Amino acid sequence: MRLMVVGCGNQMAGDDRAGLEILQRLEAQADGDCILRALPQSGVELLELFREADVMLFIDAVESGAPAGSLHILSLPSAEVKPRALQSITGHGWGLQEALDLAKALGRRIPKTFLLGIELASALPGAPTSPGVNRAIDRVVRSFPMLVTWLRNLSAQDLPISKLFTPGDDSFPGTLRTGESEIGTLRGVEDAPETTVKAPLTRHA
Amino acid sequence: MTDEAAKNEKQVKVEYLTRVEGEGGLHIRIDNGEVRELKLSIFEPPRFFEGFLRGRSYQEVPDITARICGICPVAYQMSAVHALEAALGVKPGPEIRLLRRLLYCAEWMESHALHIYLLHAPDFLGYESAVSLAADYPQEVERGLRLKKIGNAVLELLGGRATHPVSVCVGGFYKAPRKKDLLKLRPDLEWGLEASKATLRLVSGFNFPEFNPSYEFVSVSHPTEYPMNEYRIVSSGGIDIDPTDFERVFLEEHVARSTALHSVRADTGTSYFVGPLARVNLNFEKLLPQAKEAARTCGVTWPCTNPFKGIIARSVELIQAFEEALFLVDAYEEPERSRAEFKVHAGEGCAATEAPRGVLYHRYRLNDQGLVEFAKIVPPTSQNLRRMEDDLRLLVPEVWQRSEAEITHVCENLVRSYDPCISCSTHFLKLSIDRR
Repeated sequence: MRLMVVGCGNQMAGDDRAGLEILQRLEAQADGDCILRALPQSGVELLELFREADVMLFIDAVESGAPAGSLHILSLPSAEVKPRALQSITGHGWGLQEALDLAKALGRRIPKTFLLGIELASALPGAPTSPGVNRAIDRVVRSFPMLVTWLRNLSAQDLPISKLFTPGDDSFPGTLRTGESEIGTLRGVEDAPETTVKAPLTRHA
Repeated sequence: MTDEAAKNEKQVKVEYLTRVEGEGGLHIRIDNGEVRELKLSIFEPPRFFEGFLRGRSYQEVPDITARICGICPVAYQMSAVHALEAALGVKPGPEIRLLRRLLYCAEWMESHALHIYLLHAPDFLGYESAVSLAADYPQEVERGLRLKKIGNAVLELLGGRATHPVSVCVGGFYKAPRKKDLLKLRPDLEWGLEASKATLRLVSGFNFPEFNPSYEFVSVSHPTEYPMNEYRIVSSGGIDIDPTDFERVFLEEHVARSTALHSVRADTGTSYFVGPLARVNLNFEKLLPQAKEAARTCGVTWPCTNPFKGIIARSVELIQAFEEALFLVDAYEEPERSRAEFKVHAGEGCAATEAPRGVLYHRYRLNDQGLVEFAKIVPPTSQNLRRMEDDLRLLVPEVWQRSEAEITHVCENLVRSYDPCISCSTHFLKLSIDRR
């Protein structure tokens, strides 16, 4: 199963850089088995990414009203939580939904798509990342191997997904139930190293 | 109000103008065939980027301005670096000049292909969207997507990535490509040249409304080349100026009904027209041979004054971009240095280059540390806004007796023919036509 992780956002706009920041740190780790891509802005280019993956995880800033630094994991497209960089207004009318619709109309393969949303405090241009979002970025990078395992073990029965982890909730990425069995609570590598399943990351060109 | 009076008064309202970049609004009130009220309401935050640039290093300007637009970042980078080089007295060598033209070719490829196939063709083929068009014309839409993909591939090779390229800098590029890597693009560029000709054949067969206002076309002009990064600014009304005279000749006005700025001739207060149709009309003889021959034989009489035929001009420029890219790839020689050396000092400079949508003007003033003290950016879409309104005022009386849906469609088609990049000025458009 080809898993692609797409970091989205605006490098120059405060917390909006969260997705790109996470991607850069994952690339620096350079030891994994998923494809890493940066997507500063949505557009019809998404159709080309669809060809390369069976499952796509977009990492992007969101603004849903949850506490800043909260983490969302949900199936895309979502009516509840909108990823900032994937909206059509930022992509010349071509957001994720439009790209999925076009791929379907052309008879192209469509991957399963998910969002890891980081709740932002501010997207002011030129502003640094806020402390809460910085901590969220750390959480994601630390827990990423768990997240990859979680995604690779998802079954149709687990969908659609909609999970929210507020800043005080250490259970990210949470409990995964597949069929009759439950893969226990997956905690970050730092919290329970002896039970951690480490999914190495590999950067693909 | 009598029944007769009610029949003669119309208002048309389109809440959301689709298949343009960004959002905007248009309100038209028609009374017995006369336009009583026309508001192209663009809701724009304050000129954010110009303010944001102040205090930033000149080195950051290309990367910051590239983020004004995701579909035409190269245009912002080119106008920025040329203006900054004018301020700093930097003169990059011929290889850099060639690479910059190739970069611009790539942007025209991906921008024009996107607009032709996904934004504007649906209007002429009777579809609401590119998605519904794709279901019946998959081969054509796939052609457009591949044309765009090739443009993106060239952008990625030269610019480091397709969206918001990172390799452009004052003096040249942070890294110049290898010749052998450029040559690998040839097969795709050759395919693209033929696909562009097929694109022109497709769009030349569309049914276009008969609509031929009197325009003043404006574009950059070079003595021998089809315009991109240099040299002067000319018009069909007799303008022939250095970019340093741009702000004297063209005036930006703040319009009460909208937060957008409208551009007019400073002396006459009249609107003008920038973009591919202006470029082809003013620089026809400088098209490369295959592009020129295709333009000559496509059934259009040049100069063309029908704005709906902007899609034809864009298709001609697709051929031009691929034809020139092949020439540049073959002619390229790896430079010794990827960028010119220079000393930072205080200065002021401006430049106008041809974005996919038309003339894009930048001016910067730097202090002796190379920090921006002043920035002015005039995008092509802003310059066309007044002209769009003037066109709508001329068009609506010709169609006012049609149904509301038909009036809406033809007005949206007209706006889309300008390929407005509304987010370049962070605009919002919602179209409302009031019938009374």
